Amino acid sequence: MRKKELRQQDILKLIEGLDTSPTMYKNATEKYKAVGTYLQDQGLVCDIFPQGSFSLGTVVRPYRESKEADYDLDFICCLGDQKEETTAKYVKNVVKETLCKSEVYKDKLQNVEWDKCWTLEYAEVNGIGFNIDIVPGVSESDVIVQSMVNNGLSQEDAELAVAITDKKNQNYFWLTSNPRAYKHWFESINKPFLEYDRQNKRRVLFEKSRTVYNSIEEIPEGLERSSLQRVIQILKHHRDVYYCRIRKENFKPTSAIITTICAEIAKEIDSSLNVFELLQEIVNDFEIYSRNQILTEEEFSRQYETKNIIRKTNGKWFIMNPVNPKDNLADSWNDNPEKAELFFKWVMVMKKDFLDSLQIEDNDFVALLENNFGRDYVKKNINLKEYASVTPVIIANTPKPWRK
Amino acid sequence: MILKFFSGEFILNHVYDEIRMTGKFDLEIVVPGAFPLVFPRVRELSNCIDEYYPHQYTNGQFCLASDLELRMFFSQDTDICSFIEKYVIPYLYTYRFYEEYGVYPYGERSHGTMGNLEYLKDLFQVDDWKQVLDIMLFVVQSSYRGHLLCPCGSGKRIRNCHGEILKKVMNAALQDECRAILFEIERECNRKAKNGKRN
Repeated sequence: MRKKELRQQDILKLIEGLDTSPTMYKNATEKYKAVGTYLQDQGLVCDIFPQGSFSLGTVVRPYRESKEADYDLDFICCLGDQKEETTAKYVKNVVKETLCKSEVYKDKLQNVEWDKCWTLEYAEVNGIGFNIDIVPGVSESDVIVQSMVNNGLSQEDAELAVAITDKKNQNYFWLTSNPRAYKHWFESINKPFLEYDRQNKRRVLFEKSRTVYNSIEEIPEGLERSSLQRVIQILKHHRDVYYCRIRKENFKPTSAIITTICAEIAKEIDSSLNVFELLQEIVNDFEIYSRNQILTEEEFSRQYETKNIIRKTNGKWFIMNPVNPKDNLADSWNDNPEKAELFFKWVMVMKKDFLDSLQIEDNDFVALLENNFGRDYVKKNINLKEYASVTPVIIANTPKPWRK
Repeated sequence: MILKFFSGEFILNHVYDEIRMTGKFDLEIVVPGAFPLVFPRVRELSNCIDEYYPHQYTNGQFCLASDLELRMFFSQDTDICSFIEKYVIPYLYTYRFYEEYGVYPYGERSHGTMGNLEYLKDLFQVDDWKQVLDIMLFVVQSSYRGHLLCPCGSGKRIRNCHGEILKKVMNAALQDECRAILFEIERECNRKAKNGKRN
């Protein structure tokens, strides 16, 4: 039977393969900056910056309809206009119109208007393509910034808030978003994890990206991954596959929920833990939070005084957005309680697949890897000869079970 | 009377649509003396199948497929190995998949008569229930004649339409089962009509 540590290395190798490669990272960075430069050259005062998983270093290749799909990378394009002096409709459309003036971008622009963004499609490199989602917006108004400060956010972070646009039924609305403050918050927690054994990790990274960078110093911080970032990637990818299998893709917990909860839990955890030790600690906490489902609110807070990341108050779930304390990331769980149920069920399946599975028989373990990462992908990336694995037989007849 | 009896460990290591299911089961397969008129009974002996799994009888016997489907299968093939390959293994795969993901990889049948009707609808590859009933009526009332118009209503001759499948259904002697189902539907319709009048 293949050793536990070697199995962990295999899981890590598979998850690393779903991350942005150094080539793609470099390529995407150059491309989004070029979009910014182009828009400015056209006279559009703007600042373009990454948001979401690309800015947090928690990207995983999307899994759609049982297939690994192209990467979606999100960027905010924050215009210089004052929110009070413009409209969401203008902000959203001026970006598109300006992009369309260029033959290059006109070709890449998808012919669909998404509710919040425009999408530029970039060609595949080594069979993997990526999309740059441009989310137009402007700096948030003083009134909203002030209200965020009143809710406990620092002045500095509140001023980073952006008003992005949201199109619903042909009408445009403003929405508040604060990806830069979120990034600061995440980085402050991730920092000790990133620092741990950093030089060594950078050396390994350099070995893997020699074709892209000439020296260790050249490797951008954005490519480094801490055990916390890896844990988040493992969870996100397992979520994508699991919710697709159970045919409940619309019930998936958002990446914001996963990232926020993991980081909040990790705040209190020793930063020298490796990926699997940290995953175990985080899952242990998830298990405690799942007891919110069976205990009364008083019982839970009495037994687990310090556990208040996923809260239940007056029967309502609450996960605080760390950069907007009034914003409840679990809002949709209250509209649809099955989401909360499935969330805790999913966490247990994830635990079974990536923690408990380290003891099971080789063949069962390989099956697990294949089911979570795809058979071809596993075959290409893992030396299956290290496992006592038997090639499975294909099911040809598919009778549906019945009862009299 | 029992014709044959098999039991032992079965190792599942099968893949469908790129998803692999593994597991070990203690199987018991009993082939009755009246086989193939009476179907083999399959059970798992070491409680590997959850007692609440909906597709089994209270004594643990597997509900492998609708009666009509098994009748059709055994009319063409009485080899127990191929029965295991085509019905028992896919059943165990379905079970493990269901246990893992809470859904059926290739669907399930409704219980009772409805499940049999769903099987016929799939078998005849038709879109609406009226076509299923028309074909069943034909099976019960007529004998195969290729030049007649197909009962499915396509306007084609039987031999150019449902010919092959009708031959198989008639060879499998499904007439009695079809008749019983049609009577059951009639009874159900009458009962509903009566209740309707009362209301």
